[in-house]
Amino acid sequence: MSTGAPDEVIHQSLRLRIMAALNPLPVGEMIEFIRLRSLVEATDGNLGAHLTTLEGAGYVAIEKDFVGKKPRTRVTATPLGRAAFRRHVAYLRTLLEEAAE
Amino acid sequence: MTLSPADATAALRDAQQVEVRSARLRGYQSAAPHLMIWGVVWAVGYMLNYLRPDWVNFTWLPLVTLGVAGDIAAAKADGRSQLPTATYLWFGAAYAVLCIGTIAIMQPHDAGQVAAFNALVVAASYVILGALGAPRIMAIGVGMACMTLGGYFTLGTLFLPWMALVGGGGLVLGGAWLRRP
Repeated sequence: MSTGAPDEVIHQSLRLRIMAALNPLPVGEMIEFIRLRSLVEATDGNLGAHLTTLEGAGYVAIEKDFVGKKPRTRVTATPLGRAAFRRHVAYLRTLLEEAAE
Repeated sequence: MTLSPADATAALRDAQQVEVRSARLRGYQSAAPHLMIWGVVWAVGYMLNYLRPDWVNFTWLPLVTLGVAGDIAAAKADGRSQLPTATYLWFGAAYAVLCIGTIAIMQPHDAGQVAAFNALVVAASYVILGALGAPRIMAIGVGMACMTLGGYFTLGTLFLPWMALVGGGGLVLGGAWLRRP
């Protein structure tokens, strides 16, 4: 019997990729939207929608500002989001270990 | 919600690939300003060596000092260096001992030999670093080695300005490439 359960928010594949892209960054370090989009290979609209879901769950923080006249959106994983990502990955590993037994 | 082992395998593989790419991109961003700084140092130094060969003994010490100061400033501004300062100091010391020791032993006859040797040592370092999981760094190292060897064996007296423009400029462009997503 598997311990724990999948994280309902991170379970979705693009949201899992977003959290995987943010997780290696130091705590508090932000990544620009366009760089994140390139990492997770998503469209602007799709990425924006899933970031909103993650932000609603408290898993990411989003900052919007201007560099000169250009708008800039930056994203970081919150401690809550990092912990949820680690739990979800641990759950997946446990599932595989149990399936192998 | 139930997940099959196949779903879990695919999800873990996907997450791991993105984590590796993210960490690599972050490393590239950290490395980029250092390449650009040394690209400028090379460009100025080798051009001065070409235009004013009589200044050769006074050219490199201030330039290298400026380069190291730039490295320290860039690392502090970046604030996310993955390696402790002592590791960079050991790398720098090993590089200095290798270059100075080899030049002292081999007694090169002209500035072009020294320039080519230094560039090849740097290129080899980039290829080794790149082989550990940074393909862009490896490509820059291979490009640098090819340009150095090609220039050294074909350009004769124009080798130093070649190293200034193509070697220094190449490092600056390489740094700009590392900054790209």
